[in-house]
Amino acid sequence: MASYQHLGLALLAFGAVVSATSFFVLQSVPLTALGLGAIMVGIASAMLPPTSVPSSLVKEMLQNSATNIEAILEEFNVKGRALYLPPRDGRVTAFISIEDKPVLEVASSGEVPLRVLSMAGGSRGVTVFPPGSELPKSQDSYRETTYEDLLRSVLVDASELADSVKITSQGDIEVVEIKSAKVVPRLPKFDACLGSLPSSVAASALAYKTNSRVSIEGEERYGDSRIILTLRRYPGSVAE
Amino acid sequence: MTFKNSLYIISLATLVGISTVSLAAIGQTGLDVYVSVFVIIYFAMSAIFSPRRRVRFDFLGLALFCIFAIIVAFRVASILGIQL
Repeated sequence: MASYQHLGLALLAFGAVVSATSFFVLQSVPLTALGLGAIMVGIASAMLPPTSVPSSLVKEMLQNSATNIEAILEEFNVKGRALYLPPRDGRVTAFISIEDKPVLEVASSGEVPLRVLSMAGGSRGVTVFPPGSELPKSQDSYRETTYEDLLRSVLVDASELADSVKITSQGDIEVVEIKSAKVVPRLPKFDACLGSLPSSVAASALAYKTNSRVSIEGEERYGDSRIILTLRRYPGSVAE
Repeated sequence: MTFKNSLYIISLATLVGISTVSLAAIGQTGLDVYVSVFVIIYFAMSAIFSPRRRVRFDFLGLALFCIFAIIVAFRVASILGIQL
């Protein structure tokens, strides 16, 4: 059980004892109120989602993962844009063609082999596990029903990569507004191929949630921390 | 623990503590007044921090709202001179 639940139960027990004692024995209204206040704070705390791993640590791990992928992309001199593939064994993968080819050609191809170097849609490419490939799976316990809920739990709560997210759906297009996004500097290949770190995590979450192939159509940055991300789903694509 | 959720709980607990001490200091003896202030603090903090919860529905918020509604109903009834 996580810290919030421990804190909540402790406050709940403390509040129940204080309010009952104060009301029936001491007959003190302020102390009774203090006990009721502790019960309220305790329940509010117990209702918060458990976080077994500190979000700052999750953020560091994601940034390290992005740095490793940057090294792989540099090594293969990858120029294409990533196509995020539906989860296999609960993990989202991303195929990036080595040549700068339209993502649509790859999106309509058959199954993409799960190898570092592979062919898809007539293109040679690299298949990587993007930084947030397993994060959505870990958020299942929160019973998210919408993509916005899932993305908020992944980007805001679990990893603290953003302060807020807002999504507008237009058919197969999802426009995601990410506020106060923490972008990792000096990752030119990663940014060019997979999008910035928060955008990559958002694309992985959409591929996971909808079980379809996803590409980043556009990513506009306003100032240092606001991102408007356009994601396209390919719902008719082959399941991996 | 996420920073936002921690701040939410700390703010809630601090404001509940401050309001209890303040109301006690001015000699308030009605428990309904304390509870009403707690309810307002809870909804204000929830609106400011928008914390995510393990359950989709805010049962505590509903319970507090019902309690607040009952307190207000009793107050209005006493002002109108209706015996409940």
